[in-house]
Amino acid sequence: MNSHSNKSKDQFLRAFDFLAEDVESLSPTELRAALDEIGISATDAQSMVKKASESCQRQIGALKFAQAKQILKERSDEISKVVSINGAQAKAALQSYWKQNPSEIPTTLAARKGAGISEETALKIYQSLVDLGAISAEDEPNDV
Amino acid sequence: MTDENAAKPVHSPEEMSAIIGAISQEDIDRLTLAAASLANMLGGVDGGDLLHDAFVASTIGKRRCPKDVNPVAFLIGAMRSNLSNLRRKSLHTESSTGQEDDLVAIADDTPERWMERMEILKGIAEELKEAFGDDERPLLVLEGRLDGMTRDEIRELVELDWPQFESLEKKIRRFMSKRLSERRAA
Repeated sequence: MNSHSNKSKDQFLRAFDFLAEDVESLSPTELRAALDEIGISATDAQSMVKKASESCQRQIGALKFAQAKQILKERSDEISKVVSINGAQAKAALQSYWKQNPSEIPTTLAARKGAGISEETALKIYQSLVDLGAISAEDEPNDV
Repeated sequence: MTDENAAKPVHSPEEMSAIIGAISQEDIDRLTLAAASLANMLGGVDGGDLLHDAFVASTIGKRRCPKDVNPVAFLIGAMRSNLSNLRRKSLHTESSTGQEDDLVAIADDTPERWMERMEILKGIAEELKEAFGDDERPLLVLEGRLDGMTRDEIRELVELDWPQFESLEKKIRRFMSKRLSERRAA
């Protein structure tokens, strides 16, 4: 935008500031007179604000829905990524996790210190820990 | 440098949503007057769309209303601030409702459109001059404001006391609002 049009925009905004600066302090009678003069009835005003408020709620609903879809998609991507790892990798990741968090070793496995689980079980436990957010699927587990 | 606004308590998006939902008739009138004035100045834009944008910005937390600021004044300010974002919004064409896109298409941010809008305001200043005949003060007040002079500077220039000055400002505003509305209706 060139300087001439910048000046135009600045002046435009100042004109709006001038027009709107007493809106807050107008008495109800003055407000109504000002609105009547530009052809806006009380019903028109109510309708305008109601419509704007309703469309705002719809847009926020749509935004929330889009966010929920995005989270679901990310979660699905994460799950797909987890499924793509093999049982041996899951076991390695679990052993590493339990080494850092020994209190979280399931009681039935505690006696074996998590060493003797099957790869199938390791994948299931690994998956549940990813779902809980305890392990990030981004972290590549080491091969055993 | 410290940001004084950073520590100010603000209304949460949920609180703003509740405030907007429980707005009084008087505040509805205030918001409508401001939205209609701005829409008439912009030309071709619906005041309801400007309100919609201000409501959305404040209820998704894009604009945060400080708790010590009147929410109505804040929403009027949000409508004004949104004008600065027209170009940025035009880049976000994947609107969920399509409404933003319509607004951008009409209230575009091109240099030509701002100059056209100012030409209209200058035309209204000419009409103001004619309407007040030999009294040059209304035109001086309007031109002073457009040039960025303070109210106090302008008041001294036109040699009026505050009540007289405020009364003159009101007359000018009503004249401008009426002319803008008539131009829009024509």
